[in-house]
Amino acid sequence: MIHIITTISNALTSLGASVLIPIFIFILCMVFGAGLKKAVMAGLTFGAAYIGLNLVIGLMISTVNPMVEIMVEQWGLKNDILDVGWAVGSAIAYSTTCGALVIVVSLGVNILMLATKTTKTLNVDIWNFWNHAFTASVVYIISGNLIIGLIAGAIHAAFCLVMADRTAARVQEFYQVPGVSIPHGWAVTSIPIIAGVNWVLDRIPVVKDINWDEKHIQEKWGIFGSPLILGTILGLVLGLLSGYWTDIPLLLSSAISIGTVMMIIPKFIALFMESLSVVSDVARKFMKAHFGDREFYVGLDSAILIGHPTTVAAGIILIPVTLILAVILPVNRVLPFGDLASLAYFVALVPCLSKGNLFRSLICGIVIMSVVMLICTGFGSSMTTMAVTAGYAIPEGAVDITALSAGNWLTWILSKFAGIF
Amino acid sequence: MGRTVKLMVCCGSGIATSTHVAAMVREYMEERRIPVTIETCSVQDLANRLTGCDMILSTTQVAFGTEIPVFSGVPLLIGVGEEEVLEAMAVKMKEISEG
Repeated sequence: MIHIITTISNALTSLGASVLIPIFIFILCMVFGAGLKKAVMAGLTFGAAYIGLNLVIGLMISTVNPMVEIMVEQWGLKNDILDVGWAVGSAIAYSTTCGALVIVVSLGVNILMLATKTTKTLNVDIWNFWNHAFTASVVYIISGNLIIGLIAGAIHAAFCLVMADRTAARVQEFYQVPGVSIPHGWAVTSIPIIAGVNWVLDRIPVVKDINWDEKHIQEKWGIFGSPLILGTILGLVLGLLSGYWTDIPLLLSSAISIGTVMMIIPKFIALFMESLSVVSDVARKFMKAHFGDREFYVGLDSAILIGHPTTVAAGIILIPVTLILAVILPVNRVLPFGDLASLAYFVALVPCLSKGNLFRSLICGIVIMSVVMLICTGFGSSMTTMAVTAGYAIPEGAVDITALSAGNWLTWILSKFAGIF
Repeated sequence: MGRTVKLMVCCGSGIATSTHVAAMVREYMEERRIPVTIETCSVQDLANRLTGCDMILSTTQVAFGTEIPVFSGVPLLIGVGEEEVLEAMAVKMKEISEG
């Protein structure tokens, strides 16, 4: 019996993520009653997104890798773990067998908790189950046990729902989004950090009364909100640090390549989203049909909070701050890159928890980014292993990869526990 | 049939919720034969991407002033007041398209 299961499992795994996950998505859509046409499209779109993303990752690694190697050697920098950004990180987390199964586990946890009235949040933000998927995959890699991995994913999912309930009232009032709560897998882990920073700041005379205004930052510096511009400038800086000034054509073409990567990645990730939005739609209808008669909050992505002026401003200012932190922070090995365009996410909940004050957003941002980089350093090569397992083309001997948005303390603690098994 | 309306859909990242609501709008307008092209972007990039844009649909706050009509995409995400937003957008689009 076990032999048969192993054979089937090996056969499935050998198909690779570009075939296996589309089949899984197709089945999931059919089970929830999405209809044949939509289910086929959703499955195939995932496959296309996977293959497309693989091409861009290839371009990114081949451009950035030589630069990182030179920088590490010439400047004695130790930033040899490349941040590929949450978008790529999430796609990798979903592309492992363990990660894909987490969609079902997280939905199951939500149904169970709604049924037992331990949560009021109905999480329809399927896309961000990737945080649970990442937790599950890391724990699976460390423990080598699929069940323990899935349990870790379930714990993460449950934690999100509990924190979403507890912040719902403040989120709804501050951002004026009635009936909404934020069970986002990363954002919920920022709540204790923000609370801690606020607790300290409130006890320092003078500092506690500082209140900065952000009115003109977006108007003046908004151009850095463009991923193409940000990527190209970052490419120039990395190129200069790598001594490419002796070869101007190489410097300029590298800069444009990096700008291109930053601009194109979202396009391919949008395909993943398109595929999963079919799942999300049918899951939402299913959940509403079964739990819709009670008062509940709809759990959404923290993306809906990013537009707050304080957050937009903090997201821009934190770009250089994070780069400097990466160099001066002891122990840190992460080179911030992909997530630099999404730093606003890391401080999305700060305005609501500290009354829309830019000063607080920046201080919280500095603490949060330090914690995040240290945790990602702690994960070491986990995400690289995950990506290689999922069949992404990461050349051997190249830099390790990580994603800042995967750096939450909950996953870290769970992965430490997994080490026991 | 009038000219094609250009709609910019934005959210925190220009990836997740914006793609989702863009798909909903596309389906709704196709059924009503309203010609529309839809692009997505992040709210931080929005101000740089407004050339030729007729309407904005955002799932998050738009932090700057603009002449272009802005609709909220949150109802589409939570599924409450969904029809009202889509209907209001359809009316506005017809007006722009034929005007």
